[in-house]
Amino acid sequence: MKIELRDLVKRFEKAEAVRGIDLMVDDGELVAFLGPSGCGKTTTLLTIAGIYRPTGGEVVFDGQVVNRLAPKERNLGMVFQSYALYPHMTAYQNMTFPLRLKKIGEDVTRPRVERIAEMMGIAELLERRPGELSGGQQQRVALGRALIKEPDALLFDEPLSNLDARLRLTMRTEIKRLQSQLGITSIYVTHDQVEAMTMASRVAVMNEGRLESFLSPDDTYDRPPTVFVATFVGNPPMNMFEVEVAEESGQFVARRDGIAVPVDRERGAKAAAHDGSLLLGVRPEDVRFAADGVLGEVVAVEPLGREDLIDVETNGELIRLLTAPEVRPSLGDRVTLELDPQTLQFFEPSSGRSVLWN
Amino acid sequence: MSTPGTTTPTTESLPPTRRNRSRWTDSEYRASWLPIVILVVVSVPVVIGYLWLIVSTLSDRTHGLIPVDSEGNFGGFTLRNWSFLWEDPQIWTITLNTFLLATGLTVGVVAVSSMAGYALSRLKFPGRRSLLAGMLILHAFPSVTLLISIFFVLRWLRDVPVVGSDLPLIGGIGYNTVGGVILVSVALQLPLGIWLMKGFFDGVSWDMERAALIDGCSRYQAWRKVVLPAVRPGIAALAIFTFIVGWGSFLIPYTYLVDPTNNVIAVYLNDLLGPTSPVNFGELAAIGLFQLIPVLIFFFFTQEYLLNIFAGGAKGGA
Repeated sequence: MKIELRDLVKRFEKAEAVRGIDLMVDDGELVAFLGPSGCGKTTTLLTIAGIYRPTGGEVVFDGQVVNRLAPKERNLGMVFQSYALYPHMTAYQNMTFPLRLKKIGEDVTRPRVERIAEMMGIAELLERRPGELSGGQQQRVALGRALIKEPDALLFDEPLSNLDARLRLTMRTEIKRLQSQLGITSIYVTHDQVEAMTMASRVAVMNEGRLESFLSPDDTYDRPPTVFVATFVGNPPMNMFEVEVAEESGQFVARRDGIAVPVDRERGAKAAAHDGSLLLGVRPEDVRFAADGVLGEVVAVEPLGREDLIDVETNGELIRLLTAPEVRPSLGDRVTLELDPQTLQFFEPSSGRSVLWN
Repeated sequence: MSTPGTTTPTTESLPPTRRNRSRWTDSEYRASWLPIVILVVVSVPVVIGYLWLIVSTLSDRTHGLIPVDSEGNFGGFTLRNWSFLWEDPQIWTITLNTFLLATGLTVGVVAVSSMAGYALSRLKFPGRRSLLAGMLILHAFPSVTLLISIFFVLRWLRDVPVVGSDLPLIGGIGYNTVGGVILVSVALQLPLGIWLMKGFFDGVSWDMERAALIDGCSRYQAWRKVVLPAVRPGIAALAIFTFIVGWGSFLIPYTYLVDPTNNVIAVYLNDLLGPTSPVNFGELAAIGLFQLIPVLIFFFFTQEYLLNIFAGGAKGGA
């Protein structure tokens, strides 16, 4: 099923949670809604589910406006962060609940549950109540309950947030595998960027009720259209400081006092076309020590195992970089940095929009 | 949990309550006598009270806890104090009335509270806040002050055809009928019941209700099939509490049931303490014990639910 949002607005008494979102989820696609808490991603999801009625705009399933359809008329499956299993029913009863509501008989129900339980690895647990299951098992039952009625779309509301780190990893893979195997259109709400990037074919980054970007994980990372996307996605976050870009003897250079960074021709040309100062963004992994470049002093060294995170202060500006552990400098060392000219991002300071990708 | 076949529960799979409970078998807790001593000292007076109640119903007189006959010697066993059971046919009418009152009150309060409590907990409607505040005030309001105005209402209701005074079993809903007493008692008991149920409904997660709606429930079905079972311990607690209140209620039946032969046990007891004749404490105790029995039975069958309240909150999946 295709899910389309047209200028979706949801206003509560005091706050405007969603302020005009347009997007289209293709049939069989897994899309992630990513954003900080309070950005409106869960509200958007619940509006798609029919729990909330949109204040403005339209929710469209396969070309049909469903704004006024009750949740039960939408044939969706949903998985919640709190699992939301019914505590007074066994796992089996939980999973069959949607079918029993439709008065579908035991002869259809039983084999369906068994097939899904098998797929999910919970076949032995069907007679237990939620209170007797671990978090991971409960989430599997919840997922089974969402799948049992063969929904047109699956909605996930931070389903892995309550699980421990290792389990989250296995469940992530499992959900991804199930989803692509069954080919069910899915929307996955999360505040965890790794989950969003690894699972989704496209990531909708949201902030303050607006859609900041809706791109593939690679493009979200490499071609962020706004400062928010650039700094929110990526860990540690992108370095950001103000510069002026100009062409100097055939070479584009981004300058501020004491700092001069060469910029590649294509990006430099676009950046130089803008008058006034710009925000330069560069990811920590695209900065390295070099013989020649930006001078600075090491103010912090954080070993992360695979690499070191190093804070360098240059002319009052902090630049963080990731380096191989073999080249660990000491605090106070004077170093020179090179910023990879192919990866620099430029944003307009007032609007926060990228001058490269719009 | 990644190996679904395992049957031995890991620490993670145990609900927190059960993990906590195992702490109480630790030796440091078993070895401590102090709490037991304190508990015994505190409970002894209560236990003695009930002991006296039982002993005195079966004997002529008592010296303290020792049953004695009229001469003051040990003994004096008699069933005379219980003779009201077979000598006074009214007692069965009165017991039936008390039972009707307690049951009617329970059914009425539970039915209205479980719906009103849900509405106040979940729905947004104009006047919700003032309704909540108003109910608190009503609950704090002493019902004695309403007796006279309620009398006028009941007297008017009595003249309503059929339902006023011509219903089977409960008599009707007007003045001097058991139904009327039930009606008034329900009204006076509702503020507390609704507040209690609202609290229980507040504890049910929104996600669970949303899941029910998405799974295919209508709003009513979600309430009936998912939310209501989740607050079952609360309903049980409210039912038991209300039944006990109804079973022991005195003021309302005393005021609005004029006929002493068609009244409730508490009023019957009160009549025995009348100013004209000497009080037979043995008989008083017997009737008191008689009144206690149904409550004990009722509690015996429902205590599991009552005690569940404490475990329920910590169970997973809610």
